[in-house]
Amino acid sequence: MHRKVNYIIVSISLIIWLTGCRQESSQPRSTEKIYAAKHSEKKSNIVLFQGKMFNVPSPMEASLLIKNTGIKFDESNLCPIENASSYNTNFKRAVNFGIYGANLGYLNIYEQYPIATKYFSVVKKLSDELGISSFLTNERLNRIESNQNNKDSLVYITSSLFRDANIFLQNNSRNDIAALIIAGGWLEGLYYLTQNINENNHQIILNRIGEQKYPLDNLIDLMRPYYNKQSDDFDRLLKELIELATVFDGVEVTYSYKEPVVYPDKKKTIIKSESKTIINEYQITTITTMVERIRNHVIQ
Amino acid sequence: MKQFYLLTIFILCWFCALNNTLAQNDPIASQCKKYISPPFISSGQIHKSLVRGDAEAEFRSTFYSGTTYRVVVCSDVMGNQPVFTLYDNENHKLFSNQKHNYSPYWDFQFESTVDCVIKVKFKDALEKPAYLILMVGFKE
Repeated sequence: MHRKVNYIIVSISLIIWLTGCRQESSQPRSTEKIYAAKHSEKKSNIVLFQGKMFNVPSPMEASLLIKNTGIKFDESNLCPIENASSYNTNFKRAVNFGIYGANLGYLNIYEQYPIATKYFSVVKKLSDELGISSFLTNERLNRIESNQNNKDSLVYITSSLFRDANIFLQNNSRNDIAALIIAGGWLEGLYYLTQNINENNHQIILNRIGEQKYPLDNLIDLMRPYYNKQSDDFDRLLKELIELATVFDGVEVTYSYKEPVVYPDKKKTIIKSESKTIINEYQITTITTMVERIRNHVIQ
Repeated sequence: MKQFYLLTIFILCWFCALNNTLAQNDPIASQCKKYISPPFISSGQIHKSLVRGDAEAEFRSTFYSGTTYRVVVCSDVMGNQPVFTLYDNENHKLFSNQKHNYSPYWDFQFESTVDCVIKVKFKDALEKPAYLILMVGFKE
């Protein structure tokens, strides 16, 4: 009788293990180790800091703005794909996953599909190494392939990939990695803006750089809970961002409230309030230099 | 004793399966995702908060001029809808879905860049803690 009960328990356990843990067992062995080590080190539940959540704008918004101001595609804006082979820590993998993701968005917006394919391979490689590739399903890869010449679909699919990576990381209590991916993407978006200031688009780009003041504060608040917990590289990046924020503190923002207009049938509200950002040449030069320095350090 | 070990293995396997299932298929996130479809592009982030009683989750974001954003709020609590209210930095109320049948999503077109706070809670105080998810999409 006892033997029968034991047999049933072992069988049920095996079935549950095989069905429930199959996803993880498909990961390469090395990835499992990296993931298991990090997973056991850091435990936090949600992207929440003292009851607050922080959103950091998508780097695609910066790419769209740059394209809309008439700036031509410039491959030198991208992080070289060759660098990816040297990223051997989860810090480097995560930040650069965000940076390459921003590059992928930039390439798709500019319809640079052959180069985008190479960058997609790098994003896939880093996602494998971070143990988060399960969201890159065959169905999704097929969708990317079948939409290779459809800019809007590729931009949508790319942004959805990063959202699903974010969901996966949060549900696996790996918010430090999620925060680093967001930091990488934001940094790359700001890098594009600072590298694309010219006479024609001067004011639009300058304003958008100045408007990074509050998103940077949000990013710092998002990363702060993991200070002294993730890695020395993480702490260094956070300190550099705080240093950058001190320059942004000097950027002046004026705001005046105006009554919004609501269109209930369209489920839409137009926010009529007005704001103005005042940023001077010294601040722009300093921000450009600092962003370049921080980026060069993380992509090395 | 042998049965104790076997039972432990069983519980561990069950926990492993449960954890993996939760990670792969977040039903609340899936519910939210369906509202961010083309022409809206996902911001690439989700914001998940565990809410207790009548507490509010607070979400901060900068919305850029000339862009239309879609804010989506979802939960898995039946019959107790999430209420979301948008404020500017000076605490002016810009919108609440309370007046609009607790719509799970709303679009916002910004004429200037505005730093906002979105406060989210449940219509009625919760008996048990529950998760809320907030997602943002944007279009030109």
